[in-house]
Amino acid sequence: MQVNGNSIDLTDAKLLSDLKYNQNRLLVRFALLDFEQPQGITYWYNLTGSSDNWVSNGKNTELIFNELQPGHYTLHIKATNASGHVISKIASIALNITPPFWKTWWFRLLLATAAAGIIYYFFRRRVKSVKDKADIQQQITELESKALRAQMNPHFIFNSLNAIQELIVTNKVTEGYQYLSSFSKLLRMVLNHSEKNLIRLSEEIETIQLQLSLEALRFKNAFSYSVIVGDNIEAEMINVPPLLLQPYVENAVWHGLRHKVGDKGLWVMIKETGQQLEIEIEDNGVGRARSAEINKQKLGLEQFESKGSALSGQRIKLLASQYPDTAAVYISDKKDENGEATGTVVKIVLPSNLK
Amino acid sequence: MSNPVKILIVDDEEAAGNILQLLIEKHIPFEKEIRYCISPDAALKLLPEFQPSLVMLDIEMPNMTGFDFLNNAVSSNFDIIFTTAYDKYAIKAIRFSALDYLLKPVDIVELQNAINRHIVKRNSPGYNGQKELVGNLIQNLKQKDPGEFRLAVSVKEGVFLFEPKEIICLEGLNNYTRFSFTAQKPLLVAKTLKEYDEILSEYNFIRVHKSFLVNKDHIKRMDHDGQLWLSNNINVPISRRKKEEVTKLLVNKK
Repeated sequence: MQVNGNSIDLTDAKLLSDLKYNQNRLLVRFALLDFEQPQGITYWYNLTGSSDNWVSNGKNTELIFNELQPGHYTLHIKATNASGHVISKIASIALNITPPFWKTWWFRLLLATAAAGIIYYFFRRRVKSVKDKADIQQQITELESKALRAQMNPHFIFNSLNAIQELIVTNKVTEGYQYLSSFSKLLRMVLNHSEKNLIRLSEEIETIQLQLSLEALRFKNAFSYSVIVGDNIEAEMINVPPLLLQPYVENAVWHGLRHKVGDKGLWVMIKETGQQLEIEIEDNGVGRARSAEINKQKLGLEQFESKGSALSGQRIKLLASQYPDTAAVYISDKKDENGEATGTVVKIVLPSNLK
Repeated sequence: MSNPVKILIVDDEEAAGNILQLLIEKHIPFEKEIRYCISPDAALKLLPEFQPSLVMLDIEMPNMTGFDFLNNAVSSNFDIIFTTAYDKYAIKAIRFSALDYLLKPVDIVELQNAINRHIVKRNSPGYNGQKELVGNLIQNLKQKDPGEFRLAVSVKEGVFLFEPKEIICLEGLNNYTRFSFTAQKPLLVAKTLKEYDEILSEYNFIRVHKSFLVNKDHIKRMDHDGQLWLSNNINVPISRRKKEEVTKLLVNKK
């Protein structure tokens, strides 16, 4: 007997009962041990597990089985003479071809489990990512509504009304009226913007300009300011989150410039480089350290000041989680050659293609 | 022009009516005659006798809104400047109808500009009032859905009304905007593209370039040079930052 062309020992029952799935090409040679060699001899075989009927093999003393499927087999061989009488013992060989591991039930079960596991994993991941996104969205919404409240902080509202009252009492009626209509314009813009996720850069610039004109009035025009927008900026086509810049502008005025003696200036510069929008809010005030020191000396003052910019900072951070490398805020101190503070620069970087 | 400008103020809040009257008296240098009515009913009764050329009209009033007042005043011919404190839907309808409005508290410069515009119009030969604009405004207000609004475009030759879907694109040319339509010659209108961008942005229009506002439904394809081809076989440039959005739009369209 040969398996895949190699002779094997028929007495090695263990080997025959443990054929691998690819040891499935069998050649069996046999002969009737009869010296008379009767005429009309016919050999028959029957491979149980493959077919139940006796199959004639004629006079041929070789049997070839190609590509037997895995399973248990018993090969029976017998011989008949011309008149059909069985003239031999039935010879039997038991065979067992084991299936390859990928056809075994345990492997299939494993495979199915693994597939289910992978699908579940990706499903969970998707659910988590959707949930994360929803979480971020919710945080953004919360911060936006807080930003509205911070922008319209009570100090700003009531001090503005106070400034208007002063103009009325001192009989500067027209100025008072103009102040009032500018104030309500800003209020209207803030209300409108607070409903939106994004507004046009042109709208944000308008808001900043209005805010600065009101701050300057409140400040008795004691500081100069300018908003410089780069020539290449398409302000009507760039979107920005609403109410993001105002807190930094307010800080610059009320913490940088208010304590300063002498020439006071504030500059807002907007430029675009590549896919990034860069907004710088620069003042020539007393600097952060001095301002903090002054504030510390004051008794019982509510520390409202940095609430607005802290909120903006958080919103930019959230934006950075969605647009890494293109959203950030940097605050730096300006110093002269003697190391004295000469103001503060807030640089805000935003993606210029928000939509 | 010896005859004074007759201005009728209609506002249910006396303080608002009074201050408007004071501001006009103080800041409008033209010869004028001003009347103030505290209710639309009173104003309707005054119309035949007073014959105003300009009505400054509050919108939200009890019994009758400013719009109801206009609906009842069809036999008179006057220009309108709406005055409102905060009414988004109404403002949208007004802007769609190319009518003027002022937000309260009124800005003095804006007030002067609005009244000057009225005086210039009134004195231009062949001017026949805002009947059509008001008619369109009332039609628009009857629509449940702002999607059914018709846009009034006012040019020297008269007033044209368009459904947004009839507009292919708008081109900004300094302070003018050039409209291209599906079935009509282009029109040049004395308003900025920014203004129309604000009015039309909710109506399927996209600002593809700082000088071009395009109806999404009329976009055909984008070529290799980054030009956008529209249904009238005209091409417009796309701003670099809008390329991705427009590409996405075209992919979703297919």
